[in-house]
Amino acid sequence: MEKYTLNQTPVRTAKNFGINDINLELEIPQIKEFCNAMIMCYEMDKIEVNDEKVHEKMTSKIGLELDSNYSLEIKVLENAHLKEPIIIDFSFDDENDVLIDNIKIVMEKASKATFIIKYNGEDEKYFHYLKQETSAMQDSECKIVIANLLNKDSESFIAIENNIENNAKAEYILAELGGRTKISNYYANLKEFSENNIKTIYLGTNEDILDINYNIEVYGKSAKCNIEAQGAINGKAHKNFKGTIDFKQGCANSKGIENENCVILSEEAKSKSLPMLLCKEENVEGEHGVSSGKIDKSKLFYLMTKGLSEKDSQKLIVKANFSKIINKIQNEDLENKVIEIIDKI
Amino acid sequence: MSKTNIEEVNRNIYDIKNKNEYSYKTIGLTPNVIKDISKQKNEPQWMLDLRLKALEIYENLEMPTWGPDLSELDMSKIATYVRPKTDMKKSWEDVPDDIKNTFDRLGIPEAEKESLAGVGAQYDSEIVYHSIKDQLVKQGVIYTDFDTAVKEYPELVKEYFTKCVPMTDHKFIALHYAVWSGGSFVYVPKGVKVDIPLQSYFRLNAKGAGQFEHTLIIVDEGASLQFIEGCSAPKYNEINLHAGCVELFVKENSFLRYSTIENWSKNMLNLNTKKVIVDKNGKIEWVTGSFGSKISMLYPMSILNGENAKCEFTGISFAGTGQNLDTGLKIVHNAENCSSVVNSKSISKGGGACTFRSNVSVRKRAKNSKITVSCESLMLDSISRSDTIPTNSIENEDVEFSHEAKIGKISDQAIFYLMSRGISEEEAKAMIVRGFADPISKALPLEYAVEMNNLINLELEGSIG
Amino acid sequence: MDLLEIKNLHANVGEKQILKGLDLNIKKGEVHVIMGPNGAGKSTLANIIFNNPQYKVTAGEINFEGESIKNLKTDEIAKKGIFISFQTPEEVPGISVTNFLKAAKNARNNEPIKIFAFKKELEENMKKLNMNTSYSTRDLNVGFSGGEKKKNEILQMLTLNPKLAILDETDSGLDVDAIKTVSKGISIFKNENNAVLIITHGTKILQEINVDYVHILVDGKIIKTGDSLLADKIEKEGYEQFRN
Repeated sequence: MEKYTLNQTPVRTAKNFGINDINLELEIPQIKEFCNAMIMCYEMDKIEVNDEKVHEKMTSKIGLELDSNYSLEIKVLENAHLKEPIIIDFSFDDENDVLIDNIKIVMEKASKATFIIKYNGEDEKYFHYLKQETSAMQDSECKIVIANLLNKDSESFIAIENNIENNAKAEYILAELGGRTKISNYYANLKEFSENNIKTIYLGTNEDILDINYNIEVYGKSAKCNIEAQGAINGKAHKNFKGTIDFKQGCANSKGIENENCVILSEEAKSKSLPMLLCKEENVEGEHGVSSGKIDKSKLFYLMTKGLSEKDSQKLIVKANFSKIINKIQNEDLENKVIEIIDKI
Repeated sequence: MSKTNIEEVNRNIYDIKNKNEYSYKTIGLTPNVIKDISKQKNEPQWMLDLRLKALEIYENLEMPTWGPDLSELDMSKIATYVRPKTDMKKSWEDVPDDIKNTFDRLGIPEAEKESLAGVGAQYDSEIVYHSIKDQLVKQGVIYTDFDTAVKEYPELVKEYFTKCVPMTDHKFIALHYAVWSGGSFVYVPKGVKVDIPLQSYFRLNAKGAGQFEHTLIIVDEGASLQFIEGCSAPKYNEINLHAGCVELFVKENSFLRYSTIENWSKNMLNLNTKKVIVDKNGKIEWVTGSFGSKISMLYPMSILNGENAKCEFTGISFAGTGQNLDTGLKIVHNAENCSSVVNSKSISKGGGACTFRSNVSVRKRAKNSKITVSCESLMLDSISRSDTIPTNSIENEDVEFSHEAKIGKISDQAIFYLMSRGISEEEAKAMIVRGFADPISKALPLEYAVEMNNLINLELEGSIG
Repeated sequence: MDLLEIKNLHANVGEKQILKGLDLNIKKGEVHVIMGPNGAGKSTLANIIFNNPQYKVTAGEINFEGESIKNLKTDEIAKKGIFISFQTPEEVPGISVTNFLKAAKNARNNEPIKIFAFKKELEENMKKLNMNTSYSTRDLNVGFSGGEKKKNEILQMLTLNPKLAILDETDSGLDVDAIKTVSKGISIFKNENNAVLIITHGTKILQEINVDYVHILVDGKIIKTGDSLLADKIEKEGYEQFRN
């Protein structure tokens, strides 16, 4: 076991607030081949794929440097519009229990596509570290769904780094559901008239540790970003949510909204949040809101008058909070799988 | 340039310097300096021991690894103790003319006659004037300078001193305990309601000096008090340092409102520490306006230790050219049914930086907690900076917590609306900014509200044109 | 001499041309009504007269009492004696209705106003408009209902007593009683030395007012002018007959 200090926030605050970074003890497993990767795409003529298994050092804004055992680059060609999502599916099992993958997506000018990236595996404890980079060129539009559905004892690290060019749109939907350790990092750099939305659902149970660190830097004029996170924690789970919108000088007319809502379902769960707004430009609109705590009593009462148990009512409310984001996945299989996991908490 | 002229001309009430006259002065920070201060003050041994221990702690603590840059602070050059040329007087007539004139210009004796139940006035390191209405003395209220309190009420002082803010909290509080001097001591006995506020005013006149006053207030069970703290200094080209400490105890069923208008000059490093411990059914109200200083790091902390304790915080910061105001608050809920309401506003202009930094912590046993935090920041131009850095930590499920923040500029539509009624653009902007600050001025005593509005006016005048 | 004279006015919002050659002349003592379908440019006209920075005049003239006001700033236009009652008045926190009106009055008088007389006048005007006098201490429009906001605009009109009052959709979203109160306010205000321009798409507000001219604004131009009978005709038959 070695000690790691990961997921540093872009601006530091007092150490004793305990949120600047996350300290973990990790056993880094031996890295071997990962063979259960599957890419599904019905419109191969519109993309270029390169999935040579290059093993190279991979580092990210999480701050963890490891050798990768899988890399993939998908380029969506200029002006190509994909009708069906590209599905990238990783199935973990006892042979394939360690994945350190580097997925690059290049959206060429005026292209349009949806990606669904899934990490499945129920039987044992796995180790997963993803670095996903997207380069969204001018006028492109992409939606990227990343779902962590791994076994509850797994360790999961997800780092996303984007560059969003003029007038491009990128929407992310992140489902942080599996694993005992869930560390995620999101960084984006927004240019003029670009749009970036991140919608996250997260769950923590048992003694899970969640550390979520998002940072959007707005450089261009009239850019828009929106971070929305809906979560629920139970058991002795411990969650940190750190979200930053950083309005740089010159990003006039830009808008940024950040919202996190965490439902705490047990006495021993802990929720920390740090929603930062940094601003060096007068002409912007920035807003953030976070709320944590128990479920609205009147809602609970309403449901219970209809005959639902307290526990079922709680679950229903959590599901209702999640539903707007889940509906955005627009893939029935994955939506059902997500709902199934939420039902188990 | 006319811009700077306006500011300097208008700040003149605060800016008039007296000659640097003093009867004793120490510079730097060594055990000998500290022994010297203690000897000058004729203190009991326990206080000297405490000071020396604090110095040791100071030397072993690191500088903050976050927030504004404090590298220009050189403790070896700061005058740690400056005794004015007078001892404490009970009548303004006895205070030397130049010092009295300073407080006259600040309106203190005037306010005392009209709307205060007691006044303390500190000049550099020592209190030069202290008074309290006879009626309050009869009710057992103590309001005196801290040196007197150490000598006359040693048991009370020993029971509470350092018990709210320990020496180990951070580097600058250790510094404070090593060289503290002056400040006020207040005790309000059980059941006594002091309806008219008490006020202490801290004036730092000496160049390159530090002010380290210690204020300790105990509001005993069922009692209530309003306390006002004011501070200012003339501007010098050297760094001045303020590292005061405020320890507040709000006992069962009692109430304290603590109001501050801070208008230090723009060469001041204001590294102040304020904390309150609130017992069952007690309530603390903080009202603060931060306008001055070059750098401020100030986060009043409220520890709600008893059931049903309450905290209300209303604050505004206004950072202009060359200012970095890193302010906010800390709240700990440590018992059931506690509630806190926070309303914070900031205005940045002319390259100034405002940071709202907070830490709200709800402990496991603090069931049925309610907390709402709202902060709004106004940017008046694009060379300034406004950051919001709130940390929230919730450790039980029975909590209603919400935090909202907004950053933005003055709405063009609102300016147009006011102008359509014949109001000039400048005045329309000033009205909107004053309106923005209105919830805070409403919470201040009248003369302070007027002072704050004047401050906003002159700060804005500097920015328009 | 005309109080307000608008000649061949062309104006844009952003890149979009809204007014396409509008002419309008208003004399003292007259009540004019502009009616027109949504998007015809009615509110643009009101904003243009007040030089709202979000709108831009591309051609034409706007004169008030014989002087061009086209390039004046909003507050200077107001001080000439023009008033606008907004369709959606802004909420401005922290400024009470009284203090706001005091500031507005002071801005146009050279001498500061007499507080006592001002308060009395304000209270009387509020009573005329069936407004609870407690509104005078509330923050400007903050948390007011739609009806209260509109009454507050009329209150400002009575207090500032302009030469020309422009009422932009003051009746929209109001119930019958509120419309009556607003109409009453207009009647109290109106005399032979001032003028009123009512922008509306309903006729209820006109029932108790003597209207001199009704103009139909379609696609950025006034295409027909008549007397109050024209308004009734529109009420019955709509604007369809005037489109191309």
